[in-house]
Amino acid sequence: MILAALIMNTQGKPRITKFYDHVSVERQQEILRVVYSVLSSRSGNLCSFVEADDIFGPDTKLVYKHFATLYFVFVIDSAESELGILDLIQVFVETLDRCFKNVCELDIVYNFGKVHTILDEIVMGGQVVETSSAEVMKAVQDIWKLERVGELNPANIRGIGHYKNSRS
Amino acid sequence: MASAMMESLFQRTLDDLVKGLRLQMVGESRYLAKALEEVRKEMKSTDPIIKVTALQKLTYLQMACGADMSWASFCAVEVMTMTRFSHKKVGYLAASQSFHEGTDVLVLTTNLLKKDLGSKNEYETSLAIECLSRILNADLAAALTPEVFTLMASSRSYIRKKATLVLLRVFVKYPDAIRVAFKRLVEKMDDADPQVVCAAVSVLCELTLKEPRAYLPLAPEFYRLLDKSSNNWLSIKLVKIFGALTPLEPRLGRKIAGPLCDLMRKVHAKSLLFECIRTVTLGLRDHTGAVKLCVEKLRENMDLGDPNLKYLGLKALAALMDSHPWALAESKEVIIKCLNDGDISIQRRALVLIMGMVSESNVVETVQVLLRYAQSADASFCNELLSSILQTCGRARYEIVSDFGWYVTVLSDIACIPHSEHGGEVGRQLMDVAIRVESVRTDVVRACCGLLADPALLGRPALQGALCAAAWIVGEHITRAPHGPYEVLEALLQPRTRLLHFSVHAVYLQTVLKVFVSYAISYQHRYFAKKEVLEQEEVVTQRGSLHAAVELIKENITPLMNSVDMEVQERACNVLGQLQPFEDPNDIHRVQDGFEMLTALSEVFSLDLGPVSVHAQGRVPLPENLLIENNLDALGPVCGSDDVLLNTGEAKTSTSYREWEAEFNFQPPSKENLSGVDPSSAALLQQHRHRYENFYLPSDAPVVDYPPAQLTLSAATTASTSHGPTDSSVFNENSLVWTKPRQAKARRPAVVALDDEDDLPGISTPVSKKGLKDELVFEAIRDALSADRNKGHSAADGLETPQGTSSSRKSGHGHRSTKNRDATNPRVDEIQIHAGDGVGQEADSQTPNVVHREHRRSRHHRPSKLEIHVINDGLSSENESEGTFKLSEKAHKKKHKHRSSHPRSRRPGKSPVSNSQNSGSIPDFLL
Repeated sequence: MILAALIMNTQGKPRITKFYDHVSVERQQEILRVVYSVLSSRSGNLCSFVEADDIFGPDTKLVYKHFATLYFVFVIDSAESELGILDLIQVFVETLDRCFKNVCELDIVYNFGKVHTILDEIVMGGQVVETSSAEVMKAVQDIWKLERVGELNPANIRGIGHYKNSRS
Repeated sequence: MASAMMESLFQRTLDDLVKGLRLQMVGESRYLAKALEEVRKEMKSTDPIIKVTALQKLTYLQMACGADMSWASFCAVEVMTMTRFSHKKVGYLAASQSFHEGTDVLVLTTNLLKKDLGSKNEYETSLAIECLSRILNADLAAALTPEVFTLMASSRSYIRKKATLVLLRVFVKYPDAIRVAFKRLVEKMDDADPQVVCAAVSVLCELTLKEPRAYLPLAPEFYRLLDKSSNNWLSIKLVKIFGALTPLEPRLGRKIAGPLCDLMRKVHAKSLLFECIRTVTLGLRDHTGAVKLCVEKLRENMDLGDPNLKYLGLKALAALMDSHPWALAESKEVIIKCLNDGDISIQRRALVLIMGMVSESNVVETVQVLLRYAQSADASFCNELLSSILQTCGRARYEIVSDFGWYVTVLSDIACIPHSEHGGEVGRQLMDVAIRVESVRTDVVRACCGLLADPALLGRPALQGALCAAAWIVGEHITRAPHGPYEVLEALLQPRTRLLHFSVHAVYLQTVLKVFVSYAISYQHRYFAKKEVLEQEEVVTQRGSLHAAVELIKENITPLMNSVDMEVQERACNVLGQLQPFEDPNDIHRVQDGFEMLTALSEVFSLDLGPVSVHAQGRVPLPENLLIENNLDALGPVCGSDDVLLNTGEAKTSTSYREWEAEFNFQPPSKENLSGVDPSSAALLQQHRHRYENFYLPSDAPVVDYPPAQLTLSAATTASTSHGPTDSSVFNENSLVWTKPRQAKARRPAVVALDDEDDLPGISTPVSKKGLKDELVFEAIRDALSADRNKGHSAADGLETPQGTSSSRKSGHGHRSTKNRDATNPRVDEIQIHAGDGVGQEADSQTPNVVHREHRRSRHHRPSKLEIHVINDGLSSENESEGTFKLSEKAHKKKHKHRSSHPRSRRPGKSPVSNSQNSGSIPDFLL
């Protein structure tokens, strides 16, 4: 299964973290640090799998891809196929790209909730739910529409004025 | 109201917070503290929107800065209960990011989740399912299983797939749910929606990998799915499942080999290809055709230059390493190339493979290649290379090394490689080889002299172990030194030796003494042996070189008399003491006295040391009439003084101990005479222990471990020598490691280390303990699959009963199950014909008819194979279950061409327990 899905930037700042089993907050931060130190020490053109036995226990691996300023990291155990997960990361990034039109780090920074929605449509409880980017898009669009129904969620509003107007 | 308005007007949104966090100037921790305080305040607000925003911010802060949010769990539940979807979603996100099994508010969520799971809005349901997958505990699972069960039959595939996936968590947390829902999960493999099928297979894949045996009955289902699957993701999972199942059931392996080979030939997706390869390496090692195809594909892919494929390829080859060495040999070039890869994990994998290929015939060239790589590799990988060379060559008493002369040069090369940090191991092996392999000693000594002479090595702390061993070896076998003792003396006394650690330096000093003794004696032999009378001029003129040696030693060792290390200081004094008679070459009498003393010493030094088993002492037979108390009582008055340690402890040196040993004709234990453990010292130790019991650690070996009855010396002798040796042996126990060989002959470190190594329980890897949960899941699955088992099977189920609990539930469906058994067999035949060329000879040699006949024969002669029973029973239970398995049942019935053998197999007294159960069943055609 997938133990965790992480997005962090090349400075080691976490952007999205999702642990599919409970991990205490302190441990989460420690894991992020270790994972970052491992990834940042690897130059490009190396293989995308790093054995992570000392971080997550035996038979676990980091599968990662490096896009611009971001690392997309999935932590998996032996029940997942490494190359399959690499493809899944591709699907994830493609979906982000479609949703945000040329996704960049800032999109992910400012759309914490939305990115979680997308990720949840792809992976649930450590299992892959959907591998087709189009299907994910469909569900995500529906959910966002639903979020905007009626009163607006402050999270989706840029600028408080708009929010205030809609309330009053 | 107004204040609430103001509050919400000025509340910072998540975006504001994020922006602030990026632009803050006050330092992150201060900003975080401020933001958290704000959030705390806002959470107390009655306005739901403020609360939602606060919770959202807190969730973000937890992720970004590691802020604790456990205190806000109640608030999260509150937000989860809100009716608005957007609010609810924030609550659920917060819950799934921060709740865990033990969170106390989980009890409050049961009804909420129940309600949301039953919501009309599929996205609300999905939120609840997602959250459930993260926070599920046993209570929640027990309460919500019916809801999940219902959702699995939902008309919307979006819900069905998620409900199916969450089942895995439900099963793990609440194994009782398996009885209710497992059938439905299996049903989902026939769902109309491919994603639901995929989800069901993922769940089954997870379960199967935990405990494959329980899922063997589902193999036909998996096979059918794989056959028609066009979805790579699904195929990957199915192939993975087969990777876990095939090692348990060879029959399955034969069946699956053909389709897998076809798949490997035609598939484009590398992920699926590599999964197939993995499965072949795990479960189909006996299928030569499949393995050959794998190796071919691996080579093809590894040549592509993609590091990912290289890595996976090396991993797959590693799995084949033990069973198919030829596979590695064929890919040797690719593997060696990988040593040069920029990626450390690829390099490591390649190294493991190369070390796996090493044998007596190729060890020389392999090690040469590795040493070449080691010279250019970076420090850490270089050391990994070196340590694997040392480990592999040193394994099982240098099993693969036939040319020790060569190996000794390898050892000294390893020490000389710039990044090398394996001085200790090199030293150990040098010493070990020198002691164990007599024929190669000259080479060892030559190599050691080389190491000692190189001033650069002295500056590398990691190599001191090697230098220490080298010094000891040269000292022991100085007569074999290639350039004579004087050069050795120079090497041992070079100025950089002050960089050595004290313990190593002490060994150097001891070696200096030994070398000097040998040097002086040979000198004496050369010049005086034949002459009865010495003439003074001769002494003066011809003794120049001896004098030079004395001067050299004096000059370099005198400063060490002030060394802060006691051992170094003491040995320096010793050496200088031995030199004293030679200080004035004109004083013939003193010189002659000196020679006499050195002659005595050289006799002591010339005793040869052989390896001693660490268990040698244990082999000493316990003599009859052994009366420990009486014996020691008699010794009481003899060593009655309390200040033994004070009197003699530090003044006794290793040299004097040696002399003492020589005086009492101490015989070092030889190989033939392992039982000859120094009786006197053991007895003295015993006696000392008796007297100073308080000072011994309680964990010490019990008193009876010493063989006191070996005490052969008379009481008087013991008395006269008790103090010195007792103390010095105790003292030496705690002093220099490397000098122990001489002093405590019964246990020399080199040998002891090797024996210890042999004793290491490296083979017995810790058995992985299955969690209680896994056990429960396994049992429940077994029950679910074998709910209506034939009671008559119980005799044949010996294999399962240890793990399972369901023998009492078995009921008679033998007839049907036997049919089902053959449902799998025709397919075996088909596939074997179809892909015969790929599968190999065994498949080629069979026609369906042969197989058929063999089956029949087997029915008469063999008890059933247990795995097959599992299959049968599983299928029968599926077929029995009302309505749910009609489809699959039909599918099976169509294929029932053969009758099966099972009823016979249940003959009493032929319990299959006596058959080779664990190795799986024997293929029918062999019977």
